[in-house]
Amino acid sequence: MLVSVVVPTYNEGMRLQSTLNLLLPTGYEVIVVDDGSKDNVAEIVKGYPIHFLSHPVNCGQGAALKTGTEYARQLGSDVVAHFDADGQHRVEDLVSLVNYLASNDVEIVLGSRFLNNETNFPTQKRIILNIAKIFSNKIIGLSFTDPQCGLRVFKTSILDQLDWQKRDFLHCTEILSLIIQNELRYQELPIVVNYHLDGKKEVRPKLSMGLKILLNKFFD
Amino acid sequence: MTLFQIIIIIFILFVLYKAIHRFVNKEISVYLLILWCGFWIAVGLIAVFPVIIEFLATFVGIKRGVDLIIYIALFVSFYTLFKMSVKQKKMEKDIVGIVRKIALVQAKKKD
Repeated sequence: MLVSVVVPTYNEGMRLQSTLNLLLPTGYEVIVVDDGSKDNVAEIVKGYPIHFLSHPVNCGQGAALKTGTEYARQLGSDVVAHFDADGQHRVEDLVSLVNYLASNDVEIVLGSRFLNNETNFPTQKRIILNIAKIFSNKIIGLSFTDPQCGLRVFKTSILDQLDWQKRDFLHCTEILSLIIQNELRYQELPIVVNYHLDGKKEVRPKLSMGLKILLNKFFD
Repeated sequence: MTLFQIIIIIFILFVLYKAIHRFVNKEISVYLLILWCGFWIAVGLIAVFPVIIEFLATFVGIKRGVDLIIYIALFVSFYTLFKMSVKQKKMEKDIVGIVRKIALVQAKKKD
C-alpha cells in the first residue's frame, strides 16, 4: 500500500526540517508543497528524499493541499494524508490514522483534538474552535467533533468525490460537506496537537473566520 | 448656467474625448463607444436641463429627481460590484489552476 503524506508549507523555515526528520522514518512518500514562501524552501529541503512542488505565488493552504494530493494521485498512491508542516501534528497519530484506514471499512479518517483531553489549547484558540464547531454543526449542518482539524487520511479512490475547491481555511469545512454529500464512510479518531512549539508564532484564529464560513454557506 | 453645470460639461467633454481617442486607437469597440458616449451625453443633458430628471422621477412615481439619481447610482454600483466580484473569483480560480499546473510540471521527484 503506497501512502503519500502531503505537507503544505508557507514560511515555516527550519521547522519544516524537523517535521521531515520525524516523517521520513515512517517510510511513507513525503510530498512537500511550498505555497509561495518567502524563505528558500527548495534549499531547506535539499538532500531530503522527498517529492517537492512549488507554487510560484501564495494560493492558500487548501490549494496547496489540492496540488499535493493531485501529485500523490499521479504517483499512484493508494492513500493520501494531510499533515501540517509546523510540527504541531504527531507522527504516531498519523500512523494510527493510516493503520485504521487500512484495517477498517472506511474511506476517510479524520483527526479530532476534542475526542480526548490531551491537547493543551491556548485559551483563545479553544474558544474560537468551539465557536467554529457550533457554526459547522448548527448552521452548516455537519456533525463532526473537530471541523477545523488539518490531519486527515483518505483513500485516493474517493478523490473524485472529495474535489474541494476552497483555497483557504474553508477547505476544512468543504471537505466535511463533501463527505456528507457523497455519503463517504468516515471515522474520527483522537489526536494530540502541540501548540507550544519553540519560537512558533501562533496563528490566531479570528472571529472573521466564522463570519466567512457563514457567508460562504449562504452566498457561495 | 451655474458653475456646477459648466464643470460637469467640461468633465463630460474630457470623457468623450478620451473615449473617442481610445476608439480611434482601437482600444475599445464601437459598441462600448456608443454606450459610454450615450451615458455621458445623458448625464450632460440632465445636468443642463434638470427638468428631464424631474419628469422621469414623476413618471416612475418618485417625488424628487435627485432621489431617482441616487436610486439609479446605488443600483448601478451594487450591480457593478457583483459583476466584479464574480469576475475576480473566476480569475482567482484560473490563477490557482495555472499555478497548480506549473507546480505539477516542475515537480522535483524523489531521488
